[in-house]
Order: sequence, then structure tokens, then C-alpha cells
Amino acid sequence: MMIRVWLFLLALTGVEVLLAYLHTPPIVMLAALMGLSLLKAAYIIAYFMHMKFERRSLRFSLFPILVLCILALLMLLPDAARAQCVMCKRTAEAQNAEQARRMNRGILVLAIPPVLIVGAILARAKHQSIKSSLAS
Amino acid sequence: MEAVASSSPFGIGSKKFGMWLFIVSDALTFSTLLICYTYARISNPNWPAPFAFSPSIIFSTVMTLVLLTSSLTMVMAVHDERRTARWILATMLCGATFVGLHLTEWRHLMAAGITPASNPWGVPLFGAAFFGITGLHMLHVTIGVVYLGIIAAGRYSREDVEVAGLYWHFVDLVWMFVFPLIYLMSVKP
Repeated sequence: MMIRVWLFLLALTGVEVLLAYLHTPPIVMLAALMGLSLLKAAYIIAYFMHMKFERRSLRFSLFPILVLCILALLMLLPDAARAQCVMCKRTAEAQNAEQARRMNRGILVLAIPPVLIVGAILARAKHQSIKSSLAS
Repeated sequence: MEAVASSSPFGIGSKKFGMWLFIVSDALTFSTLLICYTYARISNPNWPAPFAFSPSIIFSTVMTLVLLTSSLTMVMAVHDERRTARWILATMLCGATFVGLHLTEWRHLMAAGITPASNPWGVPLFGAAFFGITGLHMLHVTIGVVYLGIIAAGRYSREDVEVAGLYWHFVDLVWMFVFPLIYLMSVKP
């Protein structure tokens, strides 16, 4: 059981490294990496740290406050990101329309593999959890 | 012990609950550091991306595998009651390997000219963020190795082993965020 969790975590790490190897565009990369890392953290907490087998009251007293604090820390992130976006916009505007169109298409094409990978992993995780809840 | 556990509203002993509270607060420490790093990075367009896929990323991937494996041996230490000390020693060995590899990585980067206050590529803050975050994590791993050593050497209860395990898995969990945000997001283009 624990060995299967370990292998799953290794596989997710492999996917992350693969994304870096493919030089995925930063925004897609960040979203995919954070999704995968949160999934890994959830598995570590649930199985290695046994949280899945603890009382619900423990879960409810530890995690909501943590999640809320982290969300509060993220509150000003769009403001920091705006400085960067202005630069991107100017660079894109400086190019001609045909190039901009190609760049957009390129971004879309590059976004497909990581979205599919993350989607497949989430679907599989969901499938597993349904299966295990039916089994128990 | 049974009486203590059943009188707790959480169904766990106070040591374990104390460790969980520490983990939640330490999780906030690391979130704050990583989020500040993200802020600094997003608002500086010339943030350096110095890690070549080979050797830096391959090196840090091996470190990640070592740390994940140490989590597995720690799980075994908690479950396998007859060979606890041996599994804890294996975990400590993995932890020590991780620190050794990380220090080697640091030495390479220092040789390439990164210091906490300057680097050859761009924003000087990069060095401070890199050494600050990875250094704090390395400190946690080092403390974890010493902690496990104390648990393995003395006569401690099953609960103490489990609580030490919680700490160790948390250190592993933090690396699962440090590794992608610091290393994988900074692959040399």
C-alpha cells in the first residue's frame, strides 16, 4: 500500500521533471507544477502522515486555518504580476499581427500536453478514490 | 495511554497533537518564504534562471528521490515494530545523503559566482532567496537526522517514533514545493 503511494509520488516527480525538460512556458508550467505538488502533498499527508485514518475533528481543526492563511498571503499576487504583464503586452504589441497570432497558437499548442497529463492524473485519482470507497 | 487518547477530542495523544500544531505553523513559515520568493520573482523581469538541466536539475531530482525514499523507510520504521531502529538508521542515512548532495550542489553554485548578495546574471536578490529557502530546508533535514538519532538511540515509545515520523514526512513535503518552485521553474532556457 505505502509502496504504491511511494511509486505514485515518484511518477508525479518524473512528470514534473519532464515538464522542465520540455521547457514548458512559465505560466502553464507554474500551474501544472503547483497542481502536481499539491497532489503530492495531499498523498504524503493522507498516507505517510496517516491523516486519512485520523478523526475528522483533527482535520477540521488543523487545515482550514492553514489554507485560509496561505490564501491570504496570495492576496496581492495579481498586483505583482501586473508589472510583468505590462512588459509582455508591450513586447507583443511591438511585433506585427501575424507574429502575435502565431505566438498565441504556439501557447495553446504547448498548453495541451500538461493539461492532459494533469487531467489524466486527477481523473485516475478520482477513479481510485471511488473504487476504494466502494471496496470498503 | 488509552485513557489519555480516549479523553482527547481528536483521538490522539498530546505529543502527536503538539507535533501537528508545530507542523501547521512551520508550514506557514515555508509558505511565507516561498510566496515572498514568488512575489520577488514575478516583479523582476530579469530574474536569473541559472540551472542547466544537466547537471543541476538531474542532481536535484536525485535529491528528491532520496528524500521520498527516506519517507518510505520512515513509514516502515513506524509500522515494522521489530526492526524500528534499523529502519530509522536507513532514514537517517537517506537524510544525511540528501544534505551531502545539497552541500555539493551549493559548492557548485558558489563556484559559479552565486552569493547571497550577488550573482553573475541578474537580480542580486536571487542568491538571498535561493540560499535562504534551501538553507532553512537543509537546517530542517539536519535537525530531523539528529532528532531521529536521539529516538533510535534511546528507549522511546511507539508514539515517539510516530511523532518523529510526522516531522520527517513534513520535511519531505516541504521539499515537494521547494524543488519545483526553486529548481524546475529556473531551468536555463
